[in-house]
Amino acid sequence: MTRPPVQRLIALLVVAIVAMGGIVVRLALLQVRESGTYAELGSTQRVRTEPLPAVRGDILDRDGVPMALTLGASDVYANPALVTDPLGEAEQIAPILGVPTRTVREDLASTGTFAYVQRQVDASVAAQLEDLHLPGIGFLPVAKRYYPAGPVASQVLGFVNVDGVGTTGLERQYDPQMAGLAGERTIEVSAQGQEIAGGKQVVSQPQEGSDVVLTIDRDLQFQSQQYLRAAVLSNDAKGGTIVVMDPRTGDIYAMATYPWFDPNAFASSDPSRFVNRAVTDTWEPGSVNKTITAAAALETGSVTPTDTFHVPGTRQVDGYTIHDAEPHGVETMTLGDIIAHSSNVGASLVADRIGNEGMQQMFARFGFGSPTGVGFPGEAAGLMPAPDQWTALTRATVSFGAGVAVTPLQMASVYATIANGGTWVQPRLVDATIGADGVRHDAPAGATHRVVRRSTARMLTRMLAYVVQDGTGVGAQIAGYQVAGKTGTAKKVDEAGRYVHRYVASFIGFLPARSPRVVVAVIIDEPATVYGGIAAAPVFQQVARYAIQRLGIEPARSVPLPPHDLAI
Amino acid sequence: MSAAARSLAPRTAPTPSRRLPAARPPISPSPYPRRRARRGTPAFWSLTAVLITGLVVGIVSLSALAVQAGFRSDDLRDQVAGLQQQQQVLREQVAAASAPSRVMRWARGEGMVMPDRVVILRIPAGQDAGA
Repeated sequence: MTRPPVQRLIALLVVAIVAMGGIVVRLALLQVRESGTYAELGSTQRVRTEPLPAVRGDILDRDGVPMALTLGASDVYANPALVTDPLGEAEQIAPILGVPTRTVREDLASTGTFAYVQRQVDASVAAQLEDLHLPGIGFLPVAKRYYPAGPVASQVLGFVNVDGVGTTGLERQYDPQMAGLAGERTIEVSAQGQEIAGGKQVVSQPQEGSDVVLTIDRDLQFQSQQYLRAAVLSNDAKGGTIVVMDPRTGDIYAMATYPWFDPNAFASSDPSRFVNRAVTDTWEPGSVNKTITAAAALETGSVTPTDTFHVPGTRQVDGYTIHDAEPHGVETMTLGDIIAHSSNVGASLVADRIGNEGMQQMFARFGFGSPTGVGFPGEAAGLMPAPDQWTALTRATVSFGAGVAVTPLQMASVYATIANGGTWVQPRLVDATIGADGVRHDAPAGATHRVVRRSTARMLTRMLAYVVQDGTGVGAQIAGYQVAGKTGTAKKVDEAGRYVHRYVASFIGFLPARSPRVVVAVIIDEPATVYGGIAAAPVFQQVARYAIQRLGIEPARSVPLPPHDLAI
Repeated sequence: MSAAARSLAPRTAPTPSRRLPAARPPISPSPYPRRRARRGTPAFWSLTAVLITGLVVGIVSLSALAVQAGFRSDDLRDQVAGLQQQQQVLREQVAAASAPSRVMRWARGEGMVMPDRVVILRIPAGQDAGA
């Protein structure tokens, strides 16, 4: 046998070494340098990550009754490229969804590979559609917010948008606490996209959002809304607001604004109805402001309860005429008479005794010009004339509630302060949060500060009781209970700041006068019968009467009426 | 030099300087007895077969159990999801049923009205009559 030439063997060896070297280098590149890329590529083909949405926390009333819930729902979508018969499928889908066939057909016949047919469809409705097994129709699991009581406290609760984000009201304010943290689930899937049983699975559990417990009492809120709507309709008014609160704790039991909306169908509602006017809108309070003038008079010692004023029917201040609601001659009135009979002229005379500084200090102590800090988005601070701009006319008009602007909540807080013995308590809408672990975290008690002496508050209460017993507020009387309160009738201003013949009627009061348990503020916007004693006081009576039942308020001994000169 | 040329070359006697290789000693049987290669006994082979079969069956069984557990897990997950959905539906129904507007409609339908006046009755505390 002959031996091959050495050169050939060497050449073959070199070729083999080069070839093997190339393979080794390529393998090294694949396995070492590009391993991450290929591993990732493999993962994307084999591994799928599904989001696990966090369940949004509920909103509960003070008794734990749900006012906003999160339910499972589905977004129904179409892949038009896979839809074989747009019209036929639309005719099957539309009646189930309760939408026009034409709309569905347009979605199914659209260009592209994805189109929402309807979002946030109830689970039962989605199940009906799934049973049809229509080609090109798919479902995405989502959460849906549900407000079981419909429009009850709708402006307070607000709503979440289709993406589950709180947009208005407390849904917005407490969105970070209620939203929770989304998780995800990573699984291995087959070439057909089906999960491989027993395959790798990595689950990052979502963190549920916290529940928010309100100070609102759902039943009292509902009933307040019923009375408010009836009053607005019967008075042919534009709208109205009610605030019901506990003067001792600042807890708000009810906060209603009419017209309202149903947060379950917010998309079809007028956006102007989303506004919680009790907190975000201001109005000239009118005669309910005289209580602050009386407080300043008593607290500064400028006026004693027995002092008398000779009050004419009209009075000139800086060239402007101030007049009372009803014409009258000069009458002798005590401070109690001025409040009970709501004399503008009398209030301006009292304010003259107090002076600008005393008036300004008292308004500031009652919180005028500052938000209450109730914890609601967009709370208004109100408007007060700057101290250096006060004139004699400013002092006179402010004394009976013109030339200042406050929110209904600020004004309710003024009366709550008097009811609470002179101590202002920050109003609260949220009582606690309950974490996903079920642990309740009580909200801090509202801040407090003393506004007037206890003796001043007691005398003011007597004057306010006099208003209801013999003054302009007799419409607020409740048999068996002594009510203390004040009527208000304020002219509205137009866009240019001129007074027009449109009015806001109000009544704010509390009961029982000796040991107040509840403050109710009623404001009716542009009623046909302009006086607070006629348009608003009866609503106070209805709401307060229901509050007595609901909160179990017992009657208390009556407070004596203040010194007065006018015949009762 | 080609093979033909080589065959034609004169044959000469080997030069004296070139030594012949020593003669190969005769092959004789080893003085030691030949040892046979060790073979497993039938028991060894049986045990090995049983072990290997057992391992294979075990691995296959474990794998089957894992897959079965996976399916069971999927079933349970579906069941949990279904129950959660059912619970949500029931919760929704309860909430809707207890909505104040519905309760009010029902109460009115039953002829109930809001009271015009609130009366709180104080019941005197009873006295212990003794045994």
